[in-house]
Amino acid sequence: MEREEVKNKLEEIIKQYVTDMEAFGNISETTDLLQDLKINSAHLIDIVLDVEEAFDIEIDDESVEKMITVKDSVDTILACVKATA
Amino acid sequence: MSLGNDVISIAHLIERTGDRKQRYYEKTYTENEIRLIETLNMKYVEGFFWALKESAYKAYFRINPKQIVSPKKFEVLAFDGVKATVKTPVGIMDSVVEANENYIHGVTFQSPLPPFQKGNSPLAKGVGGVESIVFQFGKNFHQEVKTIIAKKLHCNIEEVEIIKDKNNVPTLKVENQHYLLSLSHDYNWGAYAYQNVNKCTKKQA
Repeated sequence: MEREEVKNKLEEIIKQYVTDMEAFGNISETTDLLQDLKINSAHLIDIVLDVEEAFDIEIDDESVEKMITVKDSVDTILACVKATA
Repeated sequence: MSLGNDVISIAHLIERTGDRKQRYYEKTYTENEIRLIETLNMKYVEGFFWALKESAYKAYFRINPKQIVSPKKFEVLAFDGVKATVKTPVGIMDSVVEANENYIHGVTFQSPLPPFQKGNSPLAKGVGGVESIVFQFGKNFHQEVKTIIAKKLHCNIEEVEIIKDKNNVPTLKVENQHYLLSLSHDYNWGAYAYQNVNKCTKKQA
């Protein structure tokens, strides 16, 4: 799976939980999900669950901890996709 | 000393069922917490636990500003529906929750929680020197917080400042004194908590 494809799919998932659409308009690989997009922390686990379903992967607790920025999250998803292939 | 708070709008709580609920529990709670949740049998229990964990996270982050996306590292050890103890990477903290049909608000602080009468709202009573307010805000959350605090402390609004450090951690500055302040908002519900703040000495204009 291509990096760009993962990033686009991830952004679609994130979008459902963002209330600040202006911040979402400026999303990039360095965007911090909590600090920059102001996603309610209670929804972070929902993003992880959506990602697992969308990519048919399982993300363990250690990997969830790394999902701080968009880049971190894409890297984590790619690593999980590769591990389950 | 540290302090954190978290408000959750009940109208926007996500109801998870079936497999999704199971997976959410596995990623969010420790085995002990799941046992505790089952014994509590409370409505909106997930919202209560999240408010406890997130307020504890904020209290932790003030001490050690290293972002952790790991809810299990903030473990609710005990919860009686109002007060709780939460284990964090920097030690055990005390928490208090207040809730109504609109919101759930958790406040966590480091100092030991003094005894209070069951049934009283410990936050309204200022337990541990902590005071907090939950309110519906309009367009400018910070400005509205400042206005409420100024009124409460009998200050001119110019004497009240909310300062955020490079990690986005807020403090309250009143008459050149700095105090612990925690802020939270969820949709149109906002909340703040501060600890041991003195009222203004200067006469209001």
